[in-house]
Order: sequence, then C-alpha cells, then structure tokens
Amino acid sequence: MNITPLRGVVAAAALAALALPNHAHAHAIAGDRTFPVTLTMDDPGVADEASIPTFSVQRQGADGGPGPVYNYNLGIEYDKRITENFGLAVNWGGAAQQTLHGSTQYGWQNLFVTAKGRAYMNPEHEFILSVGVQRELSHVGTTQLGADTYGSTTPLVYVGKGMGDLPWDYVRPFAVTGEFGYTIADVGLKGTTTFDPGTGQPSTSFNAGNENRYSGGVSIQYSLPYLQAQVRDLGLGPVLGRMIPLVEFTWSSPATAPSGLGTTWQAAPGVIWLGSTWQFGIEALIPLNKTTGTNVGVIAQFHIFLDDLLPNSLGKPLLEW
Amino acid sequence: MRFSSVILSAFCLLSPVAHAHAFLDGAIPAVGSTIASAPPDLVLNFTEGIEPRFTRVELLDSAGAPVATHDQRSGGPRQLLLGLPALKPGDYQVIWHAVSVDTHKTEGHFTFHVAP
Repeated sequence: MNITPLRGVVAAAALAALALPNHAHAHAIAGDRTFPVTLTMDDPGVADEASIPTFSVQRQGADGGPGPVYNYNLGIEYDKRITENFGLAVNWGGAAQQTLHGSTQYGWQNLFVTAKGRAYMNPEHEFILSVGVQRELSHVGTTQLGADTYGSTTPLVYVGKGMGDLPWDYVRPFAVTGEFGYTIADVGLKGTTTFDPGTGQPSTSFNAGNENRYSGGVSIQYSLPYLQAQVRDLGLGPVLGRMIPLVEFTWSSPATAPSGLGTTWQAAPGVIWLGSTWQFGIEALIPLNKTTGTNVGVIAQFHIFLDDLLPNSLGKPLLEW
Repeated sequence: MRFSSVILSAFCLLSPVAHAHAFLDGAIPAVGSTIASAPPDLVLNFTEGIEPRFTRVELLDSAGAPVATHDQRSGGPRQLLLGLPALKPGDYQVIWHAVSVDTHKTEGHFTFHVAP
C-alpha cells in the first residue's frame, strides 16, 4: 500500500496518540501506600484532582512520508468524585505537529470521558481494584493531527499492589499498578482492494474507522517516601525523600482485522516528585518496537490534588454516599 | 495575563487553606533505627497538621503484644508524643493512624530496635 505524505503525517500522529492515551489519572491511598499519578497510563485511584497540564513531545519518523514529524501535545484533565468511590474524569487538549519542510499545524484532541469506580480495597495488603469505562467523543479533535474520526468505548480494569506486606525491608517500597482495556470502535476499519487496470497492481483504501484494540499498561514504582516513613529513615531530605522513580510500560494491539496500526510497545522511565498537594512527574518516552517509533520523546505533568487543596468545596464528593 | 501567571496566582491563593493528608515526616526513634536505650517519648512528626484527639499511636513488642505506654499528647500542630516506659532490648513496631486537620485519614507503621 502506498502512503501519501499526508497519510504518513497522520499515521505518525496516530501513533503518537496511541503512545499517549488520554487516560484519566488519579492518585490513590491504600493502607500505608500512596500510589502516585502515573503519566502514560491510569492508576487505580478515584479522587478529586486535575492535571494542569500534561505536556509531551515526540519525534516520529515517517517512512515513505515527508520526513521527521514532531508531535506536541498539551492536555488537561479534571477528575471529580461523584461519591466517595465513584468519579468522572474529562481529558482534553491541544496538539501541534511540526514537519521538517512544512508549516506547523495546530489542532485539538478528541474529548475523553471516563467513569471509574473503586470495586475493592485491602489496606493491609496495599491492594486496590477499580473498574471503569472510557468514552472517546469524536468530532472534537482534529483528524489531520491524528484524532479519530469516530468515537470508541473502552471498558477498563485497574489494579494497584504495594509490596509493603513482604518481609524484605528494601523490597517493601516497590509497588506495581496495571491498567487493561478493550477498545470497541464505533465504526470498524474496512479496506477495499482495487486493481490498477493498466498494471494490475492492487491497492487498498480504508475508511475512516478503527479496529478494536487491546491496550494496557504496567508501572513498577519504588517509593522513597515509603522507604523513609515505613522502612528506614535514610535522611534523604525533602527533595530526594519525596521522589518515586518508576517505569511505565504501555501496550496496544489490534483485536480485529484489518488493522491500520500494528502492535505498539512503549517504556517510560522517569521520576515523580510527590508533594502534599501536588506532584510533578517527568518521563522519557521510549518506543520498544519499530511500529511505535524510533525516537525518544519526553512527557511531563503537573498535577494537583483538589481533595487536599480544597477539601471543603471542589475537593469533596458531590454526594455523601 | 498569561496562563502561567494565572496558575501561579491561583496557587498563592490556595496555599494558605491547603492542609492535605498527614504523612509521617520523621520520628524519634527514627524509622528502622537501632537505639541503645529508649527515649522518654516516642515522637512522630507529620507533614501536615493533625487532630491529636483522633490520631492514635500503638507500640507493639517483638511478640506483637501491646506495650503499656504513658499518655499520648500533642507536641505541636504537626507533632504527636507518646510517653515510653523503659524498653527491654528487642524489636518494636509503631502503628499510627492519623487524622489531619482537614479530616483526611492516613496510617502507617514502622519498626525500631533497642540494642541489648
């Protein structure tokens, strides 16, 4: 299949969008454990908070296309608890795409709304299980910059497990979180193959739909605040002592055929500084296969905890239930 | 006004009313430490102001049995004191449940060792 320059640009943007899912982010506390807000995937928490903003930049190659493409994303998120354990989140943002020989294009991302509820928590074992569903609202984003033409719905499961119940002191600050979903496209991707009457060469054109996709993510975290407060006070101080080094792995693969994009894998190592009312995180975006890309990007996020900043107004659930 | 200025101004306005969850910010004896003898008070310092009436501290010995401690009292807005008896050599576990001034609940536990 031939790829026109425009399609190459859109494909690069779509890859970037896949690598940076518009997932709701919420920090969570289970027993002694605070799970921070992860940057490229969601964590199992339900809370009142906001990301203002999340910024990312990643260069995408475009084989057969117009050359390197720089994708910039600037997103905001607002999480609102309806009840103590159930909340809604809205993600939206802008995008810019800079090609080597073309002008920079600006546009919007699609709007994502997520409903999430905490299904189970075991404080003693620092375990949380939540379920949710995310709806992508189309006709909001700029399709030329990779926004989907049609919407989708994604049932999701979230888990978080701290290792504080293990008997090995320096292992206890570790925690693992995961997110797993299945995206059901409103309009499926369909290809139509035609043959050139002169050469007999086949060519396939696709509609603007999407394939269904499996997606997920796993984060591995080492909490220095946990080490300091629960295991051993090493005198790390207020800067180092509040850092959480982590790596996030995200993945997405087609579940139906035909598929416009293959399987993507990405690693995002970085660090989160966890304050009392806000956190700041920065991570590298490292593609783990050629489909995902060949260049390292970066993502940074400033996130505020409204339940701590404004506990008597915006920071509390709408319903006492 | 630029967006960053708006954000900065918002935080300047918000910061005086922010209290947040109270996490442990240090203790005497220190978390995970080995000490020669017990101090007169177990001192817990928190990152935020706490409600002493609703904040509980418990001390367990190496067998998991509660240690008979003296009165629990406030040492300041962010500090809680627990009077300690003379402690025999061994491992001790501190279990705390804190309620911050804005009613957020947090908890944690740590150990220290009294050397023979």
